[in-house]
Amino acid sequence: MLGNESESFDAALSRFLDGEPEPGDGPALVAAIDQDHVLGAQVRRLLWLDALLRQTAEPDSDAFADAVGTRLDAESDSDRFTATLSERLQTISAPDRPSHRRRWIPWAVASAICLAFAIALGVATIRPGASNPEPSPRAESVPPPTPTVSNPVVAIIVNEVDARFATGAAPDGNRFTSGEYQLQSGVVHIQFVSGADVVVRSPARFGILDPMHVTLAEGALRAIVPGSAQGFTVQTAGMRFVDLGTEFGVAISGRESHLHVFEGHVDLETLDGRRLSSITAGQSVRVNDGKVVGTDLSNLERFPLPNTIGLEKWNTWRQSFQKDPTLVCYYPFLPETGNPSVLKDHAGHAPGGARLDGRIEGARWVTGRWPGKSALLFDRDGDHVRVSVPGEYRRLSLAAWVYLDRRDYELNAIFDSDGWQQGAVHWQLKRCGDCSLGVLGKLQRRVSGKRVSLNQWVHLVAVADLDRLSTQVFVNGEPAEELRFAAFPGMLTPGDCRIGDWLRHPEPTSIPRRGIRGRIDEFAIWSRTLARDEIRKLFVAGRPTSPSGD
Amino acid sequence: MRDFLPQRDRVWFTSQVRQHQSCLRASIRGFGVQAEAVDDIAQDALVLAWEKLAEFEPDGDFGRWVIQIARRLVANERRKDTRRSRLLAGEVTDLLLRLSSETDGPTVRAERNEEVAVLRACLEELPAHGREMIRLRYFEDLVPGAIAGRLGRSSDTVRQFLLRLRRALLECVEGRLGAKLG
Repeated sequence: MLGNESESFDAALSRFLDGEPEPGDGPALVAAIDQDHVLGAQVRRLLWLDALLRQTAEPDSDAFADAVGTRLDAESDSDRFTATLSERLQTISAPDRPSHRRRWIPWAVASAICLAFAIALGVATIRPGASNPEPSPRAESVPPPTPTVSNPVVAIIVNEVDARFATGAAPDGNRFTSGEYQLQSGVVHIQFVSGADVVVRSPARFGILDPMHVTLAEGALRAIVPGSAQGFTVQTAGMRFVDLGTEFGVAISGRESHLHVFEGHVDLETLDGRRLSSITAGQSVRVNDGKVVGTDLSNLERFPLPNTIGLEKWNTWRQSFQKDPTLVCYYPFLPETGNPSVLKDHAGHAPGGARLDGRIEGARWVTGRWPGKSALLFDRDGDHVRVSVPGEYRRLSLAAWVYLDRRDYELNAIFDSDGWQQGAVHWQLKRCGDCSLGVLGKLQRRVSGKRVSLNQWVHLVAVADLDRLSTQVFVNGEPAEELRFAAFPGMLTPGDCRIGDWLRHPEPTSIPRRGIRGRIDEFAIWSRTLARDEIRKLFVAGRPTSPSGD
Repeated sequence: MRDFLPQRDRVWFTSQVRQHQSCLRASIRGFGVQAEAVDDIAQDALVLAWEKLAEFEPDGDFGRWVIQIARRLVANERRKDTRRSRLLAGEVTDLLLRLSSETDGPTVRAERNEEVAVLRACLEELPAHGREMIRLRYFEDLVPGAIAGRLGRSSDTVRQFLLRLRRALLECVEGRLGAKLG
């Protein structure tokens, strides 16, 4: 190789090793290696050395192997549940039920697939250093009954908040077999293989007989039953509430059972199968000693919804989250009583313990990710929240929950510094759905990734790191757009900013309007870079609850 | 559906992971995978290995087997949508995959601890400014442009210096191990 060829090869190789190849570097390296295979071996050995140097710099040499162990545990748990569920679906029969009540079986096959998928989705997200994003409810140390072919899994917990079961009356992790259960605290959302969803609020004692039958001795539950699980039955002392494709709540109050039908209708039967009456949507009854009395139940909120869990879980989570001292500001989007134009900063970590409260201009309070959770709607030109973020930073992370209705402009601002001076921060969406965090540096490379969808709640995180000369955006915990810079002089100085819009700039070549069209219901800024596992946990902690909380 | 293997297999598997993870991750990097994606692909390869454990010959070379699995994953990566490729340059990976299949690597490698110990000793032999450069690049995880900003040099100068340091370290490590890396 001639001297200038050698220099050119070394330049391409050095960019390649440092993860910054230019478009022509790949072909140049291949051409050189094709002429001299020794060069190819050298590239491979240098990459190998680079990997060893990275491993040498790792603070915990066992971290990778531990992460593999965690992932295998989770994969194994998912596979075991899926296998058990499949066995159940192959062996289950309902000889003692009317034929129209067996129609759930084909649906259950689909349900099994969905459940397995849901679990696999949770498992697939576990990465080095991450803990299980959906912790199982706590129970005392007595081991629960282990699912077997003769005592198969009939339901699983798909979501819970602060759930604690009594000793000896707890599920096996998140799996229920036939048996008696006692929920001492919290709320759980249980999904049956029949397709029925049941949400139980503590304190509660209930039994699971099979995928179509539960008993309730204490507490309150809500059953959401698809047509394919018609016949799903909740039994209390002396009475059966038989679903006919509907949504209903059952509660025990002393010696009485209370029923409220939210949708469809429910048959009331005695334990020997005698039908007493049929209750339709909007009606409530009290049952005592076999007597059915129409009533008007006032406290329907005691029948929890799946998304009740989501909101309660998020409320619990944010109490500890907002104590993070690296938070520059945190807006959970909770309206201030008597002062609806203030967006309160709940972190209070600015210098001197100051709060960086925002000023709402035009944007209106609407419903957020869950019923009872507020968001701000930005749907007119000029709707925005003004915030001021003082200070200089080498690293910043920003996170937001956003529901986009449309992308009206070439650039649609999530969070923009008012100006475009050195150190300004501009977090924006393009019309195509690409999302990036722009800072004024010499752009070297853009790596595209996942885009932001319309008409659904999306978790967005943007990370700027001047020491790595990059900004990166994550969509629902997954990497999306990344910008790499050749150089960045100075520091990040957000200063006066707007959430949801940009101060119109006098520069004629700029895009004058950048207002977003949609809702935002949470926003935070940290003075550090968030790790990928943290970003994933933020997404899991705040995502809307399925199935009916989406 | 894979059978659930007894606990003793899991213990054995975990010991194999600890023994071979360093070599596996270095091999994946050696196929031209971006540094940030190496551990993800290594995890995927090990999960696949666990699922296919029944296919592994009892007296086989686990390290070589799992590297072959990773090799196929990297080759699949090359065929995927390149909108967000985890490879540094696809054409270079093609070549590195081909070269690796021709040489097929050593069957017995030095233990990770030995390689790392040798590498640490070689780092100590670097001049102070060389050690500082390695510290900034690998221990502080700064990219060349950021190092250049700190030291008041150009990015190209920093990259060229890093390349010279890596070559010197490679020569030192291979000389002490008595074998070539990769």
